[in-house]
Amino acid sequence: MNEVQLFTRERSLPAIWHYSMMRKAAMAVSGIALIVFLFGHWNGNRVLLEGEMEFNAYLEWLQAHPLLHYGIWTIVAAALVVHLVVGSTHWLHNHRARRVPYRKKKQQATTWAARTMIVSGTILLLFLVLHIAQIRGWLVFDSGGVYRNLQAGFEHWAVVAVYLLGQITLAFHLYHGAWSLFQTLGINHPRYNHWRRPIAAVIGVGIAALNIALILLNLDLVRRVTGGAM
Amino acid sequence: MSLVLHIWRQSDSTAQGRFERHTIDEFTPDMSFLEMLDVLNEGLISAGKEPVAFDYDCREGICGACSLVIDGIPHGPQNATTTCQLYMREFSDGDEIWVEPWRVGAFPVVRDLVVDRSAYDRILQAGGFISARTGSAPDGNTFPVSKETADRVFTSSTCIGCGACAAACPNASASLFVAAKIAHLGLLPQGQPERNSRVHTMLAQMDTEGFGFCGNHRECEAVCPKEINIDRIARMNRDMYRSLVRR
Repeated sequence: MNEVQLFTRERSLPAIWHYSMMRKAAMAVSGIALIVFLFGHWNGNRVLLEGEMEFNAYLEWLQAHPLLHYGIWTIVAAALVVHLVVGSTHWLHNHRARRVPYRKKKQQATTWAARTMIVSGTILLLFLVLHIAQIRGWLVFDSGGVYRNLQAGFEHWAVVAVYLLGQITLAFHLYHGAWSLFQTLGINHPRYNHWRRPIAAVIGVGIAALNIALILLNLDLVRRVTGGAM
Repeated sequence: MSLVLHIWRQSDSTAQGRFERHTIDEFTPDMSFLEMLDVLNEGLISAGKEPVAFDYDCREGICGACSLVIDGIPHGPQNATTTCQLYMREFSDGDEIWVEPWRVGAFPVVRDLVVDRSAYDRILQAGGFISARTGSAPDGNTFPVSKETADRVFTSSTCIGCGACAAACPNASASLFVAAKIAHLGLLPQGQPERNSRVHTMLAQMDTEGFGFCGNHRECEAVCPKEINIDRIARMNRDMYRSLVRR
């Protein structure tokens, strides 16, 4: 392939998949979509604390706006697929790119969060499967609707533990992911570079803390409803 | 002063390698790491054994030939230093030191500590050049280049292509090397004609060579003997996006 052919190919839309750097860009953009969704998701879930009536009204409101509902659903599902495909294929490739591992290797700059992205990503995927199974009613704790199935689930310490673990894992994943996307998207300038790490930390810890607060407040609600069974 | 060395020995690219243990005490703290290896090799030769093969050329930190991972760090424990400029005074008496070649799939081991880095040459051949006839050195200020740009070009051009970036990268990625070359050429007026195609051809070659993919671990800039910053990688990514909309 000569330079002109290569150049023409790389300017076409499928070019995204030819290049590791373009796939990284797709990874970053899908990551941003998922981060934005998580903030919206938290905001919607606050309704959980207001009670069953309010929560069902919120679900009905979502159903009554199919464009919003399915639009978000499509974007999030697409972002997840891109993130999963690029993340897993790149990990496999990187795993092979070294061939012979070092007998002794001292890391100089990388973080624990960065080294364990594939692990945190896998945990998050498993958590997501449980979470969706509970919402969709494939995993039944109480057959009286989404609200009751969620709340009945929270009466089991194992479910609460999985939710908390999921959020802590999310914080680590975003600590590296939200920093990494600045580099990948070329957002780098001496004037604001020192803000990139704190922003990533605030996003990661922020989303996790907001969700954990919601879980803990909700547990208090569950305890009051069940008369201290939890 | 005495040291225990665990040195990687491998007779050729297909052979199974192993570590060989040596105790050495006939060196001074003012010898460089390579001079210490010379002493070791003299001992091996006089004992009728095969000397350890390792790469070197200028021995003054500017050629990029030396390539040892010393105790887990490419070019050893001292920052901004090539192996040839690392002196034995950086080590303490009785230290046990592991010496390995660059462990990068795209840099196959030739023998012992010598690796084949022609993958970097092929990346340069794919686009790391300018086609403009520059003639002899132009008069000063013929091309207006700001001081800031000139400084950035200079720091990018200090890359000696040693391969420490890929050796240190947890993913064995060559991004910092490629990004330094792209910044070096793309920031100057002479490098503009191929600016858009260069980023594509070089990145495509980087992938073809089988290097890993950048994970923004920042290990590369930490070990780079020329302290080239990862802002070059961000710039390379911007160049790639820019080239998608411009011809």
